Amino acid sequence: MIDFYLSDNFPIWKSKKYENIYDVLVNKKHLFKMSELFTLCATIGFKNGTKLPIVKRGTEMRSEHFRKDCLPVVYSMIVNDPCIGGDIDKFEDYEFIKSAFKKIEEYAEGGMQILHQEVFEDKWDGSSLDEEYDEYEIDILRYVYDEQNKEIF
Amino acid sequence: MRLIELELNNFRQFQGKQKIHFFDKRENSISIILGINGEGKTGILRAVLFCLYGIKYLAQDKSDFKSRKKGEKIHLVNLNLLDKNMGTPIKAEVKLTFEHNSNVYEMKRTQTAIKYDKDTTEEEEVSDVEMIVTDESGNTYPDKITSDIGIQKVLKNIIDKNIKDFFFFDGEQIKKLSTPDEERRRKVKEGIMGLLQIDKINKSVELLEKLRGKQKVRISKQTSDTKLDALQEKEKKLEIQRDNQKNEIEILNEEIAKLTEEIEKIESQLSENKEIKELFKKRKQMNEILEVKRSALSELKSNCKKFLSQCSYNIILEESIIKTKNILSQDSIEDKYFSEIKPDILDDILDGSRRCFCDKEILKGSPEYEKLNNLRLRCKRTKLYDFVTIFKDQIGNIIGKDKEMQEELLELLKKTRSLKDEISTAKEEVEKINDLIKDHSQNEENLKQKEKNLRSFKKSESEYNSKKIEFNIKLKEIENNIAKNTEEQKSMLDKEERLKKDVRKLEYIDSLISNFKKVVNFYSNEMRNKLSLETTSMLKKLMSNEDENIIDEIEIDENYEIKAKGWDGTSILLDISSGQNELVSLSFIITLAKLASGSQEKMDLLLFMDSAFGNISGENRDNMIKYISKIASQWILLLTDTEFTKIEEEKLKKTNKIGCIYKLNQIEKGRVEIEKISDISQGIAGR
Repeated sequence: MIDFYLSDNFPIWKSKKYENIYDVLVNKKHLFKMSELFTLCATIGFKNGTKLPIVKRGTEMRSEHFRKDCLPVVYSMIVNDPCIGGDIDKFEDYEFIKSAFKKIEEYAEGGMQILHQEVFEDKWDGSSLDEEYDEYEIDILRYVYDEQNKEIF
Repeated sequence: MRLIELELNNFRQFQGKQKIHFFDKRENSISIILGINGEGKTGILRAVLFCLYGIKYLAQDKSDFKSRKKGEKIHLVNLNLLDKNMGTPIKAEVKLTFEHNSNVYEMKRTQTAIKYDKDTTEEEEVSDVEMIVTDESGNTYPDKITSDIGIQKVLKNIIDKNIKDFFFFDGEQIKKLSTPDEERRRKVKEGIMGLLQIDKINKSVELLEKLRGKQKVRISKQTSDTKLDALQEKEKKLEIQRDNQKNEIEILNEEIAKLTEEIEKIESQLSENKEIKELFKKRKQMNEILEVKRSALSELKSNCKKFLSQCSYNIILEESIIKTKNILSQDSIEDKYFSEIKPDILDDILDGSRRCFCDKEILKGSPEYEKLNNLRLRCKRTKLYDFVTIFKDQIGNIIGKDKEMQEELLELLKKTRSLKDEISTAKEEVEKINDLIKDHSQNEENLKQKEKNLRSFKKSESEYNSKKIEFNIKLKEIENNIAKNTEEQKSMLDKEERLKKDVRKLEYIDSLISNFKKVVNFYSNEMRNKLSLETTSMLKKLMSNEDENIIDEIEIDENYEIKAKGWDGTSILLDISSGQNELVSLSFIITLAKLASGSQEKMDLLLFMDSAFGNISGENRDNMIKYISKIASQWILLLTDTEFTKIEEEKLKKTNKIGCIYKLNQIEKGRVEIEKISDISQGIAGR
């Protein structure tokens, strides 16, 4: 039986480059759980077709800790991405899910780059995000709204 | 608590043995002690507080501290005797008999002093004290208590020293009750929590936390896992870091409180100027509006946070999610993955180990065999049955909330924008008012320096506040690390079967601690709400119709401080008169006593009031006499001739509760005699 909730554990990686942003938004500001921010970044990367390789790995997330609510979104990306080739039959093979997550990691990297440029640029000093600033939730939400309403030519 | 008798011997102006017997009959709950200024009224209050708590300096002595010459002290031993007996030690003694919960307590405290020459008097640093307790059957406890620590332990359950000012007070000093400093605020909170018995639950939490520590050590002894040891070591270090951080925040809080006090003092001085007073009032209102908006924005931000963590990715991926729904709803998917027959059953039938069709064997090659074999091949795909079912359900759920999510997102952003605009306008308004205050102060030569100090204090206050935010972020980080560490330890311990029982015990202790903390919070909040409501209602009874509208509501905050609010919700405690302030404090004290005695009709409320009516106007005075005489189990009043006129005499006598009236007579300088008025039915007041 293939487990929808990924209890067969494997690592999911984020890059060292954006480690500080994850740390500030998740551990200091408590805006997200790690997997929620990862999923948001992946959806932004996916929607904009921006996929970047992880050059240097940061800390890992374990798949068993991935939030249940995020999984249908991740699987949706897998099913709809022609590069991953998400035929439902392939989900029978757990190895396929693991390898598909590698592509999702790249979308998350791409999505974080977009967020970094569009939302965090003013608050970024070259190595870390301003921890004193207290309106990240509003800025990210405004970006989500703009992204949803932007016209695609 | 009820005072029975006070005996003074060579204490202050009271030379020789002198007595006040407070009541003969229980229903005669009012005792009155009359004396003009300087004839020893406050000496009586001083004697009671000295005997009970060993207090030599009263609040008013402390406020006069700066104006007293260096080395000038309050002398408790009679000065006339010391003068006459130069070189001989003289002893002052106060005996107080009181009852509480059917026990009778007899306390005695003495102080010795010696005068060497005209200018040198030495008083012993420590006073001798003893307490004898007799129970309701008249049995005296065999051991006399002779240590102050032991006595204070007993008194903590009667009237705790920290809140004594609520029950033994001076009308002139009453304002200090509602505007305490940081140190006093903490002590008063402790005292009130003790009176309301909330401290007992806190003690239980402390005990449980000790037990948790012991249990953790026990668990760690059972395991040789070095990683667990390392984690526990790290936890200890983190806990030390957390405590240090908390201490630093505490120190900052104290600094901020001191600065706030200074700022309030200067602002109050500046507010004596009429225009500035108006501007302060306006700024106060504007700041309160700003505070409300900020708190609304903070709530909105927490909704934004919730939305971000739960819905943001669904909104970004909306189109793909719809596509996924369409894919999952295709008939081919239904056919492929949703089979009612389990493949294991078909396997059994095909290999002949199960006969399901009238005990008939299905032979290989027969048309039935071929049909079943085809069915078996299709059923292979049902390995994904559960996966696809959950996937389909969850995608359905997301799409069902699609529109709702978009509307919520738009609403959140609109509200945030408008609140931020409003806050920015209000801030500009406050800035404008600040500039106006500055201009006014600059124009007045005498206010210039004060204004300069004010700016410097405000700058420091803002710096400390920024530091405090920084420290709080660090503290949160450390607390998160502790929580993570605990989580890691827990998951390691879970794996050890033999430890499970002890781990369960630990979990049980943890849940008890968490539940007890919830109870403390709930009970404490409930008590404060009750205190606020009932204090407001009591105040309305005590206040005249005219004054009633000035104060709309009394609020007791989490530090058990009293806040008075006007009709428009603004804080007006500093704006009301001393008399109104006294009524506010009295209402609070009465309510406190009522709640402490379980809201019973007959509550245990002793009020010992010096200069009770000095600041109180006519109708309020009448109300006070009417209600307090009904409620208090004992009311001792130290009054001057202007407070006890024919009107007050008549009102007090009408209550039929006066047990005794004493008069203080000055015989010579530094010598006062207490005279009992034998016939209280006759007219006593001279005015």
